[in-house]
Amino acid sequence: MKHTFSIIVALLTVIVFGVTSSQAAQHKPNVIRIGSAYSAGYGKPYGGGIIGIVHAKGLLEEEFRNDGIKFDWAFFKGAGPATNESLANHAIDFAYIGDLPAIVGRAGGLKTKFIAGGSKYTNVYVGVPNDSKITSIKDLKGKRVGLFKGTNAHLTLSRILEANNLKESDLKIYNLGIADLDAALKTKNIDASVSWTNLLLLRSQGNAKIIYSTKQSPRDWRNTGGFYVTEQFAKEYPDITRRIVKVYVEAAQWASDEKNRNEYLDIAVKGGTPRAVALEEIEGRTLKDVNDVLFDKDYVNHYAGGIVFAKEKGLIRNTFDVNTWIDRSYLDAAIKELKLENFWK
Amino acid sequence: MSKINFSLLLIGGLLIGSNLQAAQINDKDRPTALQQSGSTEIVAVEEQTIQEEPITRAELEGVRGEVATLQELWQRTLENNTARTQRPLIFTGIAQLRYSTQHNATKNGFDLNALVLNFQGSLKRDYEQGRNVNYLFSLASPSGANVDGTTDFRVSPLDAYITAFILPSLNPEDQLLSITAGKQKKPFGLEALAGEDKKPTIKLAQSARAGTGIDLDARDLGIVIKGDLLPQFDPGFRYRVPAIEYSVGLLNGRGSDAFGYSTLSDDNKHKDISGRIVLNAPVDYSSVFRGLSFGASYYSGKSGALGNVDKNRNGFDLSYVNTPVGFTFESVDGADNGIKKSGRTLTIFYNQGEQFVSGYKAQDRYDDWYPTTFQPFVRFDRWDPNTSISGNRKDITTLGVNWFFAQTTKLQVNYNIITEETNDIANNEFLVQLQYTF
Repeated sequence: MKHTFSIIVALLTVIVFGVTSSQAAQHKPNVIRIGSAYSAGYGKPYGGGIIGIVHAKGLLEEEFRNDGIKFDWAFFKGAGPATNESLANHAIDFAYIGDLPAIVGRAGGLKTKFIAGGSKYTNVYVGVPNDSKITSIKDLKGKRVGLFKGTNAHLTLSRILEANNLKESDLKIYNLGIADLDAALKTKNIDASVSWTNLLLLRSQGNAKIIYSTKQSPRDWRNTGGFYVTEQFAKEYPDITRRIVKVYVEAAQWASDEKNRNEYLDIAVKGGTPRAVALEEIEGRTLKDVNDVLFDKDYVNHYAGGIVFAKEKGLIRNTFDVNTWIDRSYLDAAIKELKLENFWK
Repeated sequence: MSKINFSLLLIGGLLIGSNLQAAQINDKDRPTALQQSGSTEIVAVEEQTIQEEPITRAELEGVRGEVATLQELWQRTLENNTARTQRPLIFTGIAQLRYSTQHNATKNGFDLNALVLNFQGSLKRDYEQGRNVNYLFSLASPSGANVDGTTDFRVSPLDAYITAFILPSLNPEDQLLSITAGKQKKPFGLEALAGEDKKPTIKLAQSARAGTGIDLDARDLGIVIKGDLLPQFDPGFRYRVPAIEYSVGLLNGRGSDAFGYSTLSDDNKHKDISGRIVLNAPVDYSSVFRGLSFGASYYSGKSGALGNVDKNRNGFDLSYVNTPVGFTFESVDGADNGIKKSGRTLTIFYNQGEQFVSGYKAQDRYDDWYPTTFQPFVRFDRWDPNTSISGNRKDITTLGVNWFFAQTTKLQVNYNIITEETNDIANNEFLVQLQYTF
């Protein structure tokens, strides 16, 4: 009897120890939530940029297929500000977001790590109605200009105005979302709109003409995206963060390969950008140049300059050191594992 | 052929026609019909030849004809089968289906707590500056039993007003100023002015309920000016908070009728004045003080046909509405013809979910997606209808949870622990309410 009892106790001990050890070893989330400021904008869950490729091709779902982890994708109609709001409310773990909203979010106290570059140096356009007499940036003085404040177009506009000896106060700025910007320009309730490839689409529909493009400006004036993780998630799940960045880099590598250009453009179409518009946007550039995810000197300086500029323009109250924000460890590990040390150089 | 099938046929024809030229690049990379289905080589060659030919003038004229036919069909459908309005209209409604049971009560069961139909929209839209003129007209039926004790179904106008924005309203960094004329809520108090999604409990605080001496929730006829000062705008979060909000109204002051709603005309020469001021913490979105507000309200009026019966109220409130936790506290004191009344309400809540994160809710998703939110809360509600007399105070402690599971629907469960000062009977109540809006 005593012997039997001992065996039972021993077995129970082994079982309990085994279960708890297994649970400790399997410290992983049930769901990983990824938010993107680049939504298709027409009700379908697709986004732009490298994260749009990761999502469209189901790469993370494939990577974590055997881990029992689900992915929840959020493509925000409210772009950067909505992504920041979601980060602040702990509603997402990873974010793909443009430069200025990321800077504003970090300066405002969001605890994020900047873990990889996004689509680099995409263009901002200034569009006016077809019959407008406005032909240059200087002509915008005193005019009604639509702008989605808080997004990366805002930072670009600030630089454009400064180069033309203008200030925001010289314009009548109307703070509108993307859909409202397009509608207001079509109905001529604003004289100009500062926005992205949606203006190229308006132009192709005969509703606008482009008077300015950052294709003619210094590269640093253009927009960039970036990939971020909350400090809490990275601290709790460092290995999962590493694997996600690895998948992200794989997607960037795929997107940088010219032989994938057709499928790359097909995914852009899903993300709400018509094929012809996507082609025009990357005209004169290689895919490798667009989808370079490295923290190279120019890219880091772009953000450092963005912080200073945002402070000068009153967009943020406090500055911070961009190098304390960037965490290269995940990207470096992915580059090494995938042997891509010279791929984007 | 039904109209729907004919329309689909035309749309399909238009799509085929418009894709004839666009298929060039991609089709060269796609497997041919030969590879896909084992069709003959001749068929594959013909398919490629057709796809590479531009559309002819005859085909284009054919498409134009089809479009004209479709346009005429749609126009007839719109004229014959679609309701039209003279101005933009948003038609919504609210229904509250409730089950209630009370200890020691003689009856319990289901009832329709409220049915409201709203008609609202724009009378004048200013695209350039947003000095818009909007309207709201609503019809409502009161809860199961009317204030006069009858239970017949009645419908009464609840709100009927026009709002004109005096200052431009398009830019979130500008201050707002508007004037509202008609039947509307009085600018007083925190609970009474809260929207339906912000009210945690099934039953209003006792001080706010229509039909009580304080009558805070009841509408009245008059003019209210509302505005704000020193708006702070955080562009990184699209978060706007004015440092000061104010509203002041000139009202009939008639009070509620037997239905519990205000009547349509005054009964004396005097007009009541109601005002409210709110100080909000002017901080950025990330600040821990976001959602902290202090409000003060004042009401002065006369009632009765001779207008010689004093009717005064004053109150203050403190609220902290943040995510995920928050609280509200409201204190109201009133006097009607010398009878003093007071109410105190404290609510503490916790939000598990993104119901109140507006940026998160607006996403591009398939299907009818909406984030689920649970909101457990506890409320303490004290009401004394006559502070000069002891023993008539009533305390209600509510333990409850709200479940927001669809865009315009919530399920509420409340357990009210009722303590009457001198009436030591067990009369706690349990309520479940499903509120939906369309």
